[in-house]
Amino acid sequence: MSKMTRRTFLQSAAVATLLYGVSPTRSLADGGENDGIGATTGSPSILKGNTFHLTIDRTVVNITGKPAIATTVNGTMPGPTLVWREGEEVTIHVTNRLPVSTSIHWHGIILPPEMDGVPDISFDGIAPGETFTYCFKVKQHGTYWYHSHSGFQEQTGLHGALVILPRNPGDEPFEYDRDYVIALSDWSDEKPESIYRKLKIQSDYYNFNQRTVGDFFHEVAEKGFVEAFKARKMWNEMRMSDRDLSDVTAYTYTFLMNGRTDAQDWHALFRPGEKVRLRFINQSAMTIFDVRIPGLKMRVVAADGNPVQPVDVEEFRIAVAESYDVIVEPEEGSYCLFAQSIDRSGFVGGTLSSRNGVRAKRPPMEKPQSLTMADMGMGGWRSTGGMSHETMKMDHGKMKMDMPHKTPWPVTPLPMRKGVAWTMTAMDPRYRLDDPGVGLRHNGRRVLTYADLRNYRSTADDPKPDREIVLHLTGNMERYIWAINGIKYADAQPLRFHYGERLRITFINDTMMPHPMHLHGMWSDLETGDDTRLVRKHTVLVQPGAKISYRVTVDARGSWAYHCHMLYHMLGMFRKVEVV
Amino acid sequence: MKKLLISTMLAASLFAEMNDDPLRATLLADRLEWQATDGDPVAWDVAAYAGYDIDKIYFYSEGAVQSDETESENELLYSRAVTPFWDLQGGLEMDTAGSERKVWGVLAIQGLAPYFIDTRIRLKISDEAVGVNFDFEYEALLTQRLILTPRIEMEAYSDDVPALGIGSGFSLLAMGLRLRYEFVREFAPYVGVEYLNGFGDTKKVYGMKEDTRFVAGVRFWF
Repeated sequence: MSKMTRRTFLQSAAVATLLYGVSPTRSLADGGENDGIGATTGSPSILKGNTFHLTIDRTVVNITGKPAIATTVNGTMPGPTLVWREGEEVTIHVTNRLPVSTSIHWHGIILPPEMDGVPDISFDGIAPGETFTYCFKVKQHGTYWYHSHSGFQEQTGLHGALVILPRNPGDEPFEYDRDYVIALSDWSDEKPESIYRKLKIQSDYYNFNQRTVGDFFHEVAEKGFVEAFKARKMWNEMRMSDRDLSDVTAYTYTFLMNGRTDAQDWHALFRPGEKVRLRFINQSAMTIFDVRIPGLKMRVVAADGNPVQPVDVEEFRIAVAESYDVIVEPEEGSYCLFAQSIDRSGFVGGTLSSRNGVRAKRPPMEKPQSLTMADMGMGGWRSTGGMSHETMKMDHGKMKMDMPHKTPWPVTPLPMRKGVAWTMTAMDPRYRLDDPGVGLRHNGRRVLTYADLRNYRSTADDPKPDREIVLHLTGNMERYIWAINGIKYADAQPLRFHYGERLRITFINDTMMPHPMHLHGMWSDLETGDDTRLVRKHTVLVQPGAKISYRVTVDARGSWAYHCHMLYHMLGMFRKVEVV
Repeated sequence: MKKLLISTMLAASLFAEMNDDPLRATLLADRLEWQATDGDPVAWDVAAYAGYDIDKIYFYSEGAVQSDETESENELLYSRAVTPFWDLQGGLEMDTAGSERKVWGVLAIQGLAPYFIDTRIRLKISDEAVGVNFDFEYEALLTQRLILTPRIEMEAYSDDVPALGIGSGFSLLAMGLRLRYEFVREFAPYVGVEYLNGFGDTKKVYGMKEDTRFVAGVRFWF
């Protein structure tokens, strides 16, 4: 076994004790340092310090009642939560006991390219039997995560949370008494290679929410044959389904919260009156979750690790790889931490309770909504087709960004290829920042949107863009091919960023699926309507048929990965970025 | 060039598992059925391919066996994706009727037409005749697992092909309606009805009869 430093060993021992007796009368996690990182029943272990020993191996797990093999870190899935401190140098020895190459990528962490952990781009990967040592200075604080960037290992369990404490306690602009990581993930007993093969052979293999003949007659009864037919016409002509919400569903997935199923009920405790910080991280391979805690208001205080102006919501959508920190102030009782998949094929719940051993009641799962014309890139989201009065108002009022920008910066043309990997073109892609997205529209709850996010600090002094590039997210759902600008990764030239420049990147999503786009090594400063409060993110969800823009200060030399974080999209929807 | 070679090799070794387009092979038995008519024929319609997103090798076989008589059409083709929804295919077809054999050159387009109509149109060329075959299929979901499939196939030839019992002109119309239940995506038993008719010389000279028959079978793939 790998050697542990005394400090991490003591930490693990403390956590192991907690596994067997969690008491709300005791600070759940102070391992000598009063930082309040909580451990609970069934949570991944917590490792703190400067030096870490991680061993990647195959471990038999039983999630569904059948034994299956997971890829684990130190024997657990998710891997241990690593706790770092801003300003310190961390050393992580990663030993590979798999028969194949592996890697760990520190998601959202600003570090030298050779420490970024992407095989083929920033290092050679970690060969079987070898140990690779990551060593870098931690320049940020907040909630992050790590995962494998090799093959489909992320799907089989190789992921874990990163909690980075601020340099000085109190550096964060919010207070809390208790702190929990809520890692959401999707598990399948099927091998990822098999899932991918099935998607290639029949892309709707996992979709059991398709439009039926009955749905059509229902519409006929509602608005008459002609109108019903017209409503279907566009979809039928484009050979696309308005029920195409998720490629891989609960048909094969079991959704997990901190590695536990809904039945296993991940459980966290609080004392009434406490402020509880919940660090939600979506560590899934393919699942976008909608999260709420019925009966509790959530104050969103950070997005992707970075503080935002607090915003109170009842629900938020968390795309693959995103993180949101929320603070809740529960009163005595039990609350359900409820995360349902975007396509409503499944959910996972956990319990936040003032008493041990109580399982919070789960709310019923909602019905899936259908995609609208807006998701096809044909206008605003508030109406189902064309331009309604309301849409017009929105466009000229709140969404100033839909007004012609008179781009004061030059747009650099990029190679594009119309063809097999480009089925649909969004005809009228809009900035839909205040659109909560399919499944969350008009649900009566206060749902977080990107338009609500404003950076905690001022960005008024941030430099203006020097130039812009436009990236079309393209795909062919019928053949299950994903690409950027119609060119899949295998055929693409790297993107060239210039060191020192301020780049504006605009995505246009020419597909019917949302894509969480993740740029390594540099921040993505999202335009949400207020240039003085650009939102600092590492992963940006681009809604179907929409466009979205962010700015990047190109301050990191080297080669970086840039990709959609949906695992089975990533293979084609990927670019190497070279900062020259 | 050297650099390109090295980077290609690196990509192969390190990113091997992240190949976006792995070689795959699959076989779909769209129809494998018993038909309730004279001679209790068993009919099949099978398509298999091996290949990649863009390039594939296809094998198609369609036919029926009854008593000691077998009729079949068997194609081996190279298939290339040329547009988002369409493949262009070319290769050879061997048709059999009893002990008779006939080889054709085949050119086909296959894909998904608007309104989700599975379409295959092929042009068959031999020393005796030129033929065209149209095949359209639609899947109507009654529920997520109960699926009604109307299908229509038409065939026409420039000249008689006596060995196969085909007359020139519009020769064949087949219409089917099948209702399947997908226990899993890969396995679905079905029942249905099939209408067949021959025209022109196919009917008059070679004796093809109009017939409507019940069918029961299984659709599966792996």
